[in-house]
Amino acid sequence: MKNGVKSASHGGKHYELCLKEFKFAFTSTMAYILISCAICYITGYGRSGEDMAVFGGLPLWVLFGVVGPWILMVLLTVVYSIFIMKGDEE
Amino acid sequence: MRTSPVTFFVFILYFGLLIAISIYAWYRRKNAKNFSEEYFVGGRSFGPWLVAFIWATSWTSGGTFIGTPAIYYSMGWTALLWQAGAGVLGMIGMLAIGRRIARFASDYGCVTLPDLFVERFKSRLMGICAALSILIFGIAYMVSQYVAAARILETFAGMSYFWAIVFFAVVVGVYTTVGGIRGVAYNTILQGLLMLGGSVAIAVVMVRAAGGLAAITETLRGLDPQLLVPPGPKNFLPLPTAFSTFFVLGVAVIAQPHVVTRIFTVKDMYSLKRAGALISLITLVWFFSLFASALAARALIPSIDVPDRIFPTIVLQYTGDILSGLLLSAPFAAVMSTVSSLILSTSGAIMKDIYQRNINPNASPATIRTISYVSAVAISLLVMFLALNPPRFLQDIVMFAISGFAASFTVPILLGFFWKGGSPSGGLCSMISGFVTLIYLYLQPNPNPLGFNPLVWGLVVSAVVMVAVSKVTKPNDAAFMEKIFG
Repeated sequence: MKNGVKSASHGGKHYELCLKEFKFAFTSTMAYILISCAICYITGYGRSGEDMAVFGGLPLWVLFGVVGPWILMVLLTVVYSIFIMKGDEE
Repeated sequence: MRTSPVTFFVFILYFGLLIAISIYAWYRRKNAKNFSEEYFVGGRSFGPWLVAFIWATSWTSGGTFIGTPAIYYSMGWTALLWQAGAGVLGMIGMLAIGRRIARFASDYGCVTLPDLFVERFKSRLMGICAALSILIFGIAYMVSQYVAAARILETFAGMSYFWAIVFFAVVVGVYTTVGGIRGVAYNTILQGLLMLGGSVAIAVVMVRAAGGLAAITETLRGLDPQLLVPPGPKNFLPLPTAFSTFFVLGVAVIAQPHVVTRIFTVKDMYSLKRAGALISLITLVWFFSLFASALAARALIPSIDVPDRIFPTIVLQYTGDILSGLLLSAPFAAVMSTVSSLILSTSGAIMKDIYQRNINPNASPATIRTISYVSAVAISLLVMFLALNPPRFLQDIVMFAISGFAASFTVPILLGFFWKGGSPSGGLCSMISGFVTLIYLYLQPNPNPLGFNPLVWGLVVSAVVMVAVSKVTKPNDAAFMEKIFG
């Protein structure tokens, strides 16, 4: 059997499935970028480094604006790819 | 810095292993029925681990271990926001487009990114423009990687710059040409594990040496409070720049020819989905580890003349001989995996998109094989000669090349494959307008209007042009559009 991701056609249900996956990935990507920038803007930009609160060695703006969203994004990617992303490959 | 003989021996052993793996890959692929399919996309037979590692190591470069730690070291905690675009790599780079692109490439026999455009838009002119763009930005990117490799060899092996460039060109040229994408993939597993293990090991060593993360942060606060808050020292990352960087170091991956073509190597959907998850996890561990070690380095070594030397410095100062040898191989692995992927992308552009499509469509398999080998060697030699006169700002060239690829190709890929309205003229004009916008802005005294990176403007212009031109020009053949969109 020839290798590679195969299908009978590229249109119809296959296209709709790909479009659905793209919309989910694109929306979650944009949400991640906007949420991360917004939290960093609110909790980090314009603050003084001398007074910046720290938790576990991480400045709070980093914890809530970068590390938290990044880890959540990775978890979302793992869960979506392994448990949710199903379609016409079978 | 002095390198011990043991460290040097481990480093040399590593090169020997890479060449041996390439020869093994050559034996595996020498009887392949279709040379192009095997040489450029591994017969579309790779499972999740191979795909994830070859994808991730193609995306990261020598800058990941040289220039990037220097930014972490110099800019403190704000540099993690600068890097945060990496959080979307698995999602946008693999899951968003993977099913559509992998299936189309497999069914239409695409082995290069221009192939994808030619088959989707039925435009050979678009293929030629894409190939030229890949050659221009790809060669610029490779020059920066050759120079980075030479700097590492200068530091660790005490070689002169000239011989370091020649040595690197020979090793990477041989191992890419002999092994093809299969050799690159096998080597990438070794290199990826080395880069991943090395990053974690140095992070553990450095954070422990600095007394833990809390102690590091307090030391940084004492050195310069700006290291704790954005935009960082010297107004490093204003908010619009931070927003732009998510695109340059994250979303842009969608259009890197040496990365997106790794999707073509996927065996099946199971492998593609698992690879998406693995890419996210690998890059998370990778960047967090490198960041932690660079931050610890700032606490332990408050100042250094050349920040680019911070990674080699901490490796030699804080680890033993054998671990040093392995760790100093990590940046080299990053350089080699990127360069080999770029050599295959650029030589593929010459062989398939310029020679086979436009000069000799009936080329025999032997001719295709010869042209592929000659292109790879010629590009390797050309880049070697260009790198003998090194540019001053390596990381700037990397960012320029990444942005160039992304400005040219992102919109034609996305709107070409996910929007029914994209016409051949729309795709071509979109590609050219993104490219021209980026170049134009880079040539301006202020390349970042309103604080946004030229790539963001390039994407906006490219998208507007794609939609506008597609609306008023002739679409693709209706039967073909029905076949791919339904």
